[in-house]
Amino acid sequence: MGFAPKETWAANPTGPRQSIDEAIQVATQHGVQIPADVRFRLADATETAELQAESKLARGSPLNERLDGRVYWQDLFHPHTRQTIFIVRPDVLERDEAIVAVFTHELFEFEALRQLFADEGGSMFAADFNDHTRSDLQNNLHYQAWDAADAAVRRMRGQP
Amino acid sequence: MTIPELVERYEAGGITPLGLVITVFNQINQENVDEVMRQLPPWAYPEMQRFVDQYRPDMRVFNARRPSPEAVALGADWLKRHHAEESGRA
Repeated sequence: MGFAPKETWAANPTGPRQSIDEAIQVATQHGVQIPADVRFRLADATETAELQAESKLARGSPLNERLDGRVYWQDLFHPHTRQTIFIVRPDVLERDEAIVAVFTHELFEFEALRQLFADEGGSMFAADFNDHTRSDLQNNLHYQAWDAADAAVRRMRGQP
Repeated sequence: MTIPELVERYEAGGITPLGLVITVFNQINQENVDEVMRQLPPWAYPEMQRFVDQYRPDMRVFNARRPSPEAVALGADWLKRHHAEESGRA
């Protein structure tokens, strides 16, 4: 079991959100800034099962290690839309706080990775990418992204 | 998800080329390889071949399940035969 958010997400008094567009609206209303090159969509049944098996609530687009041992930033993007795609488990839409936390988490990691890839000319060693994103390494990007998500949820509640 | 649905998702911008390739390889088996591969649009074959060329059984794949060596071998063999057929027609 890896590191996870510390805040417990409250249930919505009015029930779950009905669509990813509604979830995006909730996130942006609570200060989450979604870059133009990022798209969120709901995971389908197969993807949801995979996410559940990995104990994940969302994930970015796939990357594979090439023969040089590196992963490439450009592989995260669709060539026509120039967007990368995050898939979100449908049960995230049950709680607004989960929406804000999960979107914040993914975007925190994504923006930090964007900078790291840029610093290295568009690629990085797969081993380094793994260390940045694995869920069981304290203080890595994944860990920091949950701290950012917790902070976003506390702001949403009006807490310091 | 069927292959036409997957292609439709790609065309709508809902999955990257690499995402499509990995999803296809994860569906391939001995029984369905021909049916699956024939449903792909022509642009997908070079993408599939690129993945085959990069593939190692121990390579890291992030945010997806790494396809099995058996599935990749089936796909690679199909691509080889398809290329030979296409070259024969030319």
